[in-house]
Amino acid sequence: MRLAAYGIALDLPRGWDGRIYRRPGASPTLHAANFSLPANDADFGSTATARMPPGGIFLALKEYQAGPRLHPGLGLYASDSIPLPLSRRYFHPRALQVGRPGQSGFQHFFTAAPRRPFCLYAVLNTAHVPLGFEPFGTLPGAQDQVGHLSRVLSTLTIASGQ
Amino acid sequence: MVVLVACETLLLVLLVVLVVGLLRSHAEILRRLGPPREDGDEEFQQDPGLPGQLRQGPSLPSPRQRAGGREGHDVVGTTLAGDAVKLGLGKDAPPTLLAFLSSGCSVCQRFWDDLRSGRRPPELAPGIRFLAVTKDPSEESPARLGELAGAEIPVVMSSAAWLDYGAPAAPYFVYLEAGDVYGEGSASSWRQIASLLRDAIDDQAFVRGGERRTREVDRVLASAGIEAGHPSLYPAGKGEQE
Repeated sequence: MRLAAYGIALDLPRGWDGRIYRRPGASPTLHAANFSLPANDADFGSTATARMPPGGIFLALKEYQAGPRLHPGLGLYASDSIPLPLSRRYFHPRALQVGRPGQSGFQHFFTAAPRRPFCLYAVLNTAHVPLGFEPFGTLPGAQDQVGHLSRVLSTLTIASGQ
Repeated sequence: MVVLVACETLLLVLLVVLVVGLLRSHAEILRRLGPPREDGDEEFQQDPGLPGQLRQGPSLPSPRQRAGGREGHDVVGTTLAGDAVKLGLGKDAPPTLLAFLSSGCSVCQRFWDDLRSGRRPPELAPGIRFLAVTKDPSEESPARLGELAGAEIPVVMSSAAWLDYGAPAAPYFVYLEAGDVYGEGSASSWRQIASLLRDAIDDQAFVRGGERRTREVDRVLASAGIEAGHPSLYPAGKGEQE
């Protein structure tokens, strides 16, 4: 099922929650997860990631507004794409906005054509799931999480205007 | 005297013949009418003064689904602010009550009022996620819905969800657990919704109780060395494969 708003679109598998919203005066933000998202959350999902189940995947895509101190296509935003497929090596507990046991994060800044700067923030909960116990039917094993996330991100499209 | 007795005898015979004839004709009428119908009087059902539902016939509506029913669908639509939203209703989703409401139906008004007041109805347990689903902005006014819903009620505008869940009209409620529809129907009060939820939860508990009993029996048999296919499980003393 395709989620689309403000020039951002993404295919989400069955069972995934997603939202593309824009706060007053701000640029759009996308949240997606393979577990239930809270009704209200901060832009980088500090509430959602606090309730992440084992095997959970969360991603936030936040757009920034270009200005005197933020130049699309330069410096931190020099990249023009997301490095897909993602590698497990990209994820590290130190990349988390809020450090939590069992979680690893990934941050990537880039500029989508022609002048839309974004930050992609993804979190995996790689906490051990006991053998024979699968509390969340649609959640993948830890080794599959990066693959799932890569497949979802490969469907992302960003239009030139909002 | 003899003449008088003869006349009385003749009159008596005539009366007997008359009574027998009446009884026979009455029995013939009853035979042709047939046995009494259980579903009510046909004339009653054809009375044009009766509401259509009563005139249609004797069949009563039955619940469309019981425990372990059909698979749910994710809800994809827009919020009243124009944001895109997708609500996953897969196996790991929390218990969810979808309320298919509209801005125009008078019965929906009391639900909007109750929900907007910010008080979660006591019939709606805290663990149950609630979502109001209206039709798309092409069929509903987001501004009017904004007045009805206030800031408290999560609303998704999705005509596709109405089609996916076969919501016939507003108000209509669908209760899901673990991605499956466990109860659905129309309701005009929270009490009726509570009944819908209670039935769904009780039905599921009943099903789980059966599974639990089966597991317990399996465990006891296994502890006695009796596994699937054991000859003692078959009256003829033969294994399953035989």
